[in-house]
Amino acid sequence: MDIIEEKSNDIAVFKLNGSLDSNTSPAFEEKVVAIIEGGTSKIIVDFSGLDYISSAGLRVLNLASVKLKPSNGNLVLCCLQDYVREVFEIAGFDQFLPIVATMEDATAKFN
Amino acid sequence: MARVLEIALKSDYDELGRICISVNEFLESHELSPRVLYGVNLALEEILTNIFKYGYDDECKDHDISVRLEVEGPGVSVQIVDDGNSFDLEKAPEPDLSIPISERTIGGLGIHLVRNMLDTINYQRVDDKNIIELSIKGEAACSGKD
Repeated sequence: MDIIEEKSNDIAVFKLNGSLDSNTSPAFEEKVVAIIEGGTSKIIVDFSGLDYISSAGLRVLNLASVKLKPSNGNLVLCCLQDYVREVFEIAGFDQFLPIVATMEDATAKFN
Repeated sequence: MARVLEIALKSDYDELGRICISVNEFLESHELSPRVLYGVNLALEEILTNIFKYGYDDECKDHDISVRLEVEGPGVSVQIVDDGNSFDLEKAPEPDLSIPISERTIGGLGIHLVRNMLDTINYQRVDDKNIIELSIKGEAACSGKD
């Protein structure tokens, strides 16, 4: 698992490569919680390089979404493979997390 | 090319990395769709972590678990056998996805994903062992050669 973190203007972008599983989720949780507690309220997670996610990974995204609530922040997911998107739908997470096709669409959500 | 992979492991989280490597080496030697590869990995992670977490009343990490994978056409069948507490995957309560997310307890999510991502799930309790059998069908590859 590889996590690339970038900041463009006031938006934090996390690009995830590999697997977000029970082994790698704690490292992602640490980074995303740190950035929210540091005052960032706009987050994009780029899933283009992610080929595996389990319930442990979904829990981190849920936690991030809950932590962003008080600041009216938002978490946008982009570039999911079909079967990864299917998992978000099965979990019901597509009901509260905006999921878009491209990075441009994700950035546009904050404009 | 072997169509069957059998792995013996202990009830220890540290085993997951090793299992994952052998399983993916095996699956990648067959022509399976990314969705099928994903489903098998998901079932193994969610069910094994569930067994580690809830299967045993002692702290011992030395219980034997066996995993068997068999490639069947474009799909895969998975069998997991453990001697832990009885746990019927088919009857585990569904998480309530209608509750607002911030108020939701998120337990049971992994099993919910497995039940919906895989095509069949069968549970039996035999001789104090849990036998879980799952399958994911996958779509036959379009030959295009006809």
